[in-house]
Amino acid sequence: MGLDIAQTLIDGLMVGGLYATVALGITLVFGLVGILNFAHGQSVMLGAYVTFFGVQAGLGFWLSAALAVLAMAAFGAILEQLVFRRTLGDHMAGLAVSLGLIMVIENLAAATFSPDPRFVDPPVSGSIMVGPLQLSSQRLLVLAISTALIGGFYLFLQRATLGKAIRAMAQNRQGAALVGVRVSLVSRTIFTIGSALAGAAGALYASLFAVTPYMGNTPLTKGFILAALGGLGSVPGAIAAGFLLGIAESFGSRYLSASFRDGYGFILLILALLFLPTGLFGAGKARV
Amino acid sequence: MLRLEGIGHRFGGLEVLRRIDTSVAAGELVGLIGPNGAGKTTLFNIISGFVRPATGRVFFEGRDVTGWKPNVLAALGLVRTFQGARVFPNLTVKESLAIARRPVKGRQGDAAARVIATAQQLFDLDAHAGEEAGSLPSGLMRVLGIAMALSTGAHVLLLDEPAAGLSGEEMEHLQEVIRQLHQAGTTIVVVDHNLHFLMGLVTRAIVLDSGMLIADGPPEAVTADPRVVEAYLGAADLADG
Amino acid sequence: MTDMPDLATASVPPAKAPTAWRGWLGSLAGRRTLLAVLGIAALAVLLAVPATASSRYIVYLGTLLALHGVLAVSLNIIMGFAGQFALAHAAFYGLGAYTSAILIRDFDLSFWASLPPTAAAAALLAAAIGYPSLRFTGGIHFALITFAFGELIRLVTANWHDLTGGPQGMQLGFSPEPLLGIDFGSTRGIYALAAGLLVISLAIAAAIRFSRFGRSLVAIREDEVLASSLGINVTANKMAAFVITSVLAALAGTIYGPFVGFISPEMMSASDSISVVGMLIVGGLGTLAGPIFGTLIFMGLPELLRVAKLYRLVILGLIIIAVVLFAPKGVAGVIDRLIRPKRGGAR
Repeated sequence: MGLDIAQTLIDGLMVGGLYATVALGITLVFGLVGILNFAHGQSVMLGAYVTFFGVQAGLGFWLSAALAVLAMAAFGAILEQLVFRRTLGDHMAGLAVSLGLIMVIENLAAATFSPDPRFVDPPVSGSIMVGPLQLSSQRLLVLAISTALIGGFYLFLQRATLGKAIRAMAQNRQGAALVGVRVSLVSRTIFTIGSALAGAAGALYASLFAVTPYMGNTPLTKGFILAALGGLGSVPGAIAAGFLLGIAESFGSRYLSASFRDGYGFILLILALLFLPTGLFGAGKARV
Repeated sequence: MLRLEGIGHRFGGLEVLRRIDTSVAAGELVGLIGPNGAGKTTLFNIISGFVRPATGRVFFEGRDVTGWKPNVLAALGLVRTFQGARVFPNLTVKESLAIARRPVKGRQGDAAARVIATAQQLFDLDAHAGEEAGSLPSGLMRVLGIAMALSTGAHVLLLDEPAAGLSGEEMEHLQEVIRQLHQAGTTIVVVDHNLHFLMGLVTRAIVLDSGMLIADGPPEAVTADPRVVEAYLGAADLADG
Repeated sequence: MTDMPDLATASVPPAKAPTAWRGWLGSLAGRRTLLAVLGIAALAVLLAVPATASSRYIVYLGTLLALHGVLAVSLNIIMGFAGQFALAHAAFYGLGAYTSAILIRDFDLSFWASLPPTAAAAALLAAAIGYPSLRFTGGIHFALITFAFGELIRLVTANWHDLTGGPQGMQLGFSPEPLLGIDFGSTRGIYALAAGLLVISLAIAAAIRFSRFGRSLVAIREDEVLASSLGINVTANKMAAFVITSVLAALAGTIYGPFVGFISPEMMSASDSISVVGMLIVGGLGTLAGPIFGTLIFMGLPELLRVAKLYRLVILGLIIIAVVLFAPKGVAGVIDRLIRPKRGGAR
């Protein structure tokens, strides 16, 4: 029994890291630019396709994944320039535009890549035994990479000049502008980083699940649940919520019912909104 | 009518209100003054239910209403206005006033209706009835905000800087409307920076400074109080309004 | 981790109302008789052509248009009037279809008897997800939660094989029983049912629009804080609107079942919910005629263009983006601008 629980816990952590990587991009863009970007899931999907085609072209998983990150970073910057720049400061218009983007990107992908599922050979296979626990090597690798991404991002916010500018803008937009932070540059950077994180998540998704044009909605849904669960705009909240959701799903499907796997997070979110209306870390806002 | 007991509030580590105790009787016309950052608007937010105070209680008509929602208080007859020109931008003046108009609960329906009519006439709102609120000149927008609050038939009105941005003539009209409202029995608390505007109007002034209540009394006595003068950083500001 | 930025502070909406979105919602002044007439004309065409046409295809298309018209008209109540992005509309449509079909299959109910419990289930679910999310100002929580809920319902439907038949869907063998001497079982009968529901939905939307409830919703859309200061119970009004919106979508779903004879979790997909949002944005949010224009454009135009479905959706996505960026009041707004008297003219 104890062993079973430990196994379930570790499975949950592995998925949770992946979820957190997606949620980080969503909460970052929302917190700083005020746009709830529904097209974020499309960056995950496109990142997965870049990885798939890279591997097929013989680049190998790692190079392909790096390519996915770069391509999605560029994609984010382009979207910001073409579309989201025009809706800054009006979050409902930003949301509406991102809904239109989902339709455009998803269906173009389906028309171009065909709706057939594709599979990417994971870079590692088999499983390793840690004491009595059997761990899938690939899932362990996903956990390691997502933890590294989250940690690297944290260091960037804390140490890099641009990271500090972002934190300044998060605290006070006008104040940041006054001390010389270029708000438009930060806004583009945020979209670029958010989309790059989604590209990385896409590469990791591709190594675990089927790649299809419609795969973007599930990570997006999870990302939304996490962003709200963690308190919209809160980076630590989104990370903590990511691992919490992974664990909740893992235990729920192991001990309750696997059919409702995707429902546990939602129930968690509804309960959190009812009883912790400002999110796990007290961010966000409530009350009319 | 309105009583505050030990109201305190903080934003982050900053204490914006400290143990405010005061009350306003039915039918009073009170000015709430103080320098920027004194906590006037926070106090309004607390009384009107938009912010729950960290400490203390708010009583309205003898009931403890601390933490009650703004719409509930408004329905009971306690209505506030906002700083600046806060209106429904895409609704016409007529629609805006219709939305605000409630079936008046209890008393003074006729008197209130008369005052609203006067206000509409003085500010010529009728001539703009079909215009969208968002496209009105800013003075009229402010007036519309007040007219909407009046239309609810409130018997306690909290006006947050109603005269800011108004022309001299508009300001006189506003004073006239507030006076009539007062005569019709409405209890009114006005926050304003413009002491000239207030002093010719109110019968009592309450002064806040750095979150503390430092003076309370007839306007002439209060403005002569050295602590009030000091709070305003010298008499120049007072004269300047 | 404690040093990490709390990004939420930046997420507080700016005090000044964002202009594009506000403008886009459009004013609802009652003066636009001509716009209303055009809307009614569009509706008349939508209703009359299939009723008189002999072609089965026209009747089929008419039914489809009418059902999507119901979706657009009902979504307009929460989204156009109250300004809240509800992104689970297709999910409620599917929920209605499945609930009614399961009640008929497992409890031997008639089609008509399955309607009240289906409506009640939709109302209950709408209230359950509306209450936690609509307490927040600004609409972001609601958009996010309805989207997640829509996906959740689809996934649960696809995974709950015993009850729903899983991803392969359900074949339905029933059709609505005759009522008041009218045969609702035929293709034309189902069309009449769908058209009837569309007319009822429009009547409900119009009644709401010109009631105190509707005015409160519009006030909430314009400024929630100001509305609440004037005594409007913001959360309760938004919830009531969302419940009505969702019940109408579920009822449209109950008709879709016997109309097509087959239902699957596909009909609940997020992109279908987004399509309905697109219809409203393109047609003109918050107007009574907008949803009808939007339905005709969204459903009719691609049918005329006859391009592959995928490219149709791409084109519609591009139209949504273009309308939001360049014609924020939608088609109804454009028509209104063309017919509106010049400045200084009589109003």
